[in-house]
Amino acid sequence: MPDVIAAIDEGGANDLVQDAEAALGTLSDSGSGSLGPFTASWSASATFSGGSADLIAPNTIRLADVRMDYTVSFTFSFDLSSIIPDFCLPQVCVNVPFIGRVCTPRICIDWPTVTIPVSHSSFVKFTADFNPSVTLVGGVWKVDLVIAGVPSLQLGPAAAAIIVAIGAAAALVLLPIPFIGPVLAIAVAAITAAIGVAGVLGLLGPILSPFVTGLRFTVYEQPQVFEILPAAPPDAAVNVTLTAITAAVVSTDEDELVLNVDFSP
Amino acid sequence: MPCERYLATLVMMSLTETEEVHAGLNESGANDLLTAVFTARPRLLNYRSSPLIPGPPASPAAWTTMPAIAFPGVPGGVGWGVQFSIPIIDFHPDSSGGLPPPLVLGVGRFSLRTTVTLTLLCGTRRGEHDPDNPQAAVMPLRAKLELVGIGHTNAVYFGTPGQGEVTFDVDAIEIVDIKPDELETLLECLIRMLLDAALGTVRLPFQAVSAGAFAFALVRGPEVENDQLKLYGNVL
Amino acid sequence: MSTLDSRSLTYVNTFGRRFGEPGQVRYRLVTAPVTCQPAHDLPFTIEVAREEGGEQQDVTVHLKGDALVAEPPQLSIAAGDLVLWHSLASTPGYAVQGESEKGQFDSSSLTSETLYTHAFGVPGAYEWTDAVNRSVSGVVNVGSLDSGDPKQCREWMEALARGTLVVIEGDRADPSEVSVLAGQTVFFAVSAAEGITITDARLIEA
Repeated sequence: MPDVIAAIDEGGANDLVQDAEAALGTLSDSGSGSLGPFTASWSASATFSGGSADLIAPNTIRLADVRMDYTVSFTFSFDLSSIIPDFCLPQVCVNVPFIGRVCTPRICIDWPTVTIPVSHSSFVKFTADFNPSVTLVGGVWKVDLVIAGVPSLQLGPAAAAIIVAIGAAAALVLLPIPFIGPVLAIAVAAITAAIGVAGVLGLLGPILSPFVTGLRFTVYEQPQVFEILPAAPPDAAVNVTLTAITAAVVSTDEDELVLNVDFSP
Repeated sequence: MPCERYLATLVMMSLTETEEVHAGLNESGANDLLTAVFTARPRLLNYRSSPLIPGPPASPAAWTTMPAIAFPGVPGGVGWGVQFSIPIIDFHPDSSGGLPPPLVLGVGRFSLRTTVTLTLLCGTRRGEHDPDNPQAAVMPLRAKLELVGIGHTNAVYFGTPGQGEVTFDVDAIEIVDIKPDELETLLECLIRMLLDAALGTVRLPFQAVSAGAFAFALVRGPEVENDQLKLYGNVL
Repeated sequence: MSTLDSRSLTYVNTFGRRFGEPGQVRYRLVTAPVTCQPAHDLPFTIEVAREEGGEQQDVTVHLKGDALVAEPPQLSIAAGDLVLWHSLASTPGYAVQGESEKGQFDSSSLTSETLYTHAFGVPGAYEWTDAVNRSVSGVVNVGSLDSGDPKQCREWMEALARGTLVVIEGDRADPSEVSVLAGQTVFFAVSAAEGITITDARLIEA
């Protein structure tokens, strides 16, 4: 029999996971990716909360409806000329009393390169299985719940909202451009059509999925040299060495996550 | 037994039972903890009134120094030493091979085995004692006794949720075959008091019992059964 | 690039000057903002013939390498013709500085019988004034139409071909306030002035 058997039931595991989610804090990442025909630079952050734990023997902890709150900020730049057609002001003629008839030349507008910043915050829920993973690295024992497999993230609604946000952001950026007025709506529509929901999903999925697929919740973390009693002068600290740890889900009249710990003096 | 009831008994009970968290310290683990405590802090098992009480251990830091027993006419008092070996604990049920009567390892209790070494600095007659050369006047006399004891555990709670300690109380000991019986009774009482006090210095934090797993607020325990010391609680 | 400031000409502007006296006009193109420079290099010429004219002659300004060039670099006109400078979209802000037998001229300082046009690209109220002496000022109200409305869109397309004239004589602008749509061109014709600018008042430090 191991030196210590520590067990936690599903109710306790729920609390444990909530604490582990909070301890995970805010995850951040950045990079670049495809937004339809454009290249976007992005930064994103995510936090996790909620979910209910279902312990399934022999080694599965199923977390249902875990909520990932995220913020994605991205910018993409392009030559507006590639989106909207050339636009030219016609020749304008007036009669100037002391000069005579004067005509300006046809003026073709040079659309600039624009950079559109978009930021979007929302959440998505997912259900995933986790397996306990016991490691001893750098003199520290850890038991992590590591996600198994890639859960499907339902990002459709978020993509639809982001397309709207892109349109609004584009309108804001384009509005001050001289002579854009008559073609502003066309330009915004062309931008959102070029990207499309598929383009947004193509950017959003690869951004958010790694936050989920890389999830590890730490449910146990102790140094291998485990302090029983702290030093209290004139007495030294009292330590034992944790020599082995195993983790599994055990099913009896209820399901429990069980850690077996061995140590030596 | 009706079939359904019989089948129900075949389904094992969970470890946590009605609480969220269970921490079970096996008696082998308990003995490792005691070994760790008393190895790091040997002065908790070694008491003497004078360095004239010889070791082992040799280091003065491994001893707790106490006053000599004052007695009129005994210059400097009676020099003494009491030492215990690291107790070996056995949680109920008995797996030590049996206890000497009248000791019985009841439910929820532990037994322990240790040796006590009593040392007396035997002095010369009054008047021949040379205070400038006390070594010439005293001679350590040593007796080593095996003893078995029984006891129970307690939980001491602190104000901070989840913070507390498990302590060990010695209820009775048995030293076999000392005559006359009155002397055995006297020594058993004396040594029980000393052992209870020495073992009372061991205060194991709840987190030590769980090896640091699942911080919890204690709801039930310590309960001693199935060779384990068990704590039950809810996640903080 | 579409700032209302005659001191710096861009592709939404033109600068015109009527040359009434026969002779040779030499000029150069300088990038704006214009600083005080000795007039030692006037590479472009306008030969004003004696015969009477009254036509418009166009000169296109563009960037060739690092230098501003006029196309055509040598121009022959009749006396009384208007020379109208305009640039391409990629040309930086510039000014025209030259001299004739009648004296020197500078597009960044409008004098008699000169013209400055500006196509307004962004809706808003533009209070303009002379940046040098604040001698003359006016307002151009630039409105917009709903391009999604087909009727308004047609109206707007037709309006683009119509110009609005403001005549400046001394310290008076007539009319002092005009209203146009985004995309329309205002012609600021200077009939008499000592050297003024047409500058958005917000560009001038208080």
